[in-house]
Amino acid sequence: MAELIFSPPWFFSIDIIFQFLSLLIVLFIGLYSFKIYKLTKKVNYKYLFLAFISLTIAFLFKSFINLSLYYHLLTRFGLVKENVVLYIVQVFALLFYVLFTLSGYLILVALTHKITNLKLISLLLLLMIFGVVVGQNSQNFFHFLSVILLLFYIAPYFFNNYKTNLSLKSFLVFACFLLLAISHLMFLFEVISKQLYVLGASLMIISYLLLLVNLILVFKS
Amino acid sequence: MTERREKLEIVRDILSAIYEKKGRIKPTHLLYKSNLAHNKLKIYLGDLIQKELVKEENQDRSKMYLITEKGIKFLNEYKRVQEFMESFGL
Repeated sequence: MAELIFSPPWFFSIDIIFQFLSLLIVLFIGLYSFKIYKLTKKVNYKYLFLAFISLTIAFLFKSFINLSLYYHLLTRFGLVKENVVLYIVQVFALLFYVLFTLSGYLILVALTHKITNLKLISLLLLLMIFGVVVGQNSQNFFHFLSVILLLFYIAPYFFNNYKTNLSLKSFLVFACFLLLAISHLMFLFEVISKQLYVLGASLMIISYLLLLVNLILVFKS
Repeated sequence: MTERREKLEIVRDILSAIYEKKGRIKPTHLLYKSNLAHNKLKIYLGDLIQKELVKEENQDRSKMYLITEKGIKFLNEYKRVQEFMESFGL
């Protein structure tokens, strides 16, 4: 059986708090994007809403996996009795976490690179799903793909937007996606040391907190 | 050549024009500030009055347009939306 826990035990509860916070932040951004779409009818914001809702669902699965792995919630409440069934449930939850995260990133790539061809987007999504499901090391493939998508496709777009606007808010958005890429890079090497998982998780929450700061600044203005 | 303004931007321009004139404006000033044809402005104003974003008042035989609380709230919300959109650049 593949290893599912990469966090050191002292980090379990902090990890769950980080994920819950990230879930709330991406949900807020998603809902605000939907509000903008309803107001302006700009289709880009419908896709931004879909990207962030996809990330919200991913965090729901991730929180479920971690609650189940760290605190044995499923067995404690007698929902699952056999270890094999528990393992299958956790693996599927992990798979859905990976697929929803990658879908969110892919929508962001399509959005920032103005890819409107649905056939092309679904082909990319299918290739990613294939790689994750069939690949020998799905976790590494997932983090590797995330680094590529974030570092070479999403972050550069937001860097260009920052260069155009030169505003703190656009810098925060760019910094968020850059840190998110670095966090996935840390996760890529989590098998080497559990401390890298802690570093990755910390960078991930910092990146989403930057988005929250951006949202707060927008609301305060 | 300037790009065609979207409906929402026209609404923003009308409301901003009234707000910048301390919340009340004469129709002629509004026509000039909003950069719209007379009949178009009339349609937009009718719509804004119906949505209670703007109020019409008759003072000393002349007409005045006033921005309402709801109109100010809309203007502030629009500014927030614009800032959010700029931060993402989409």
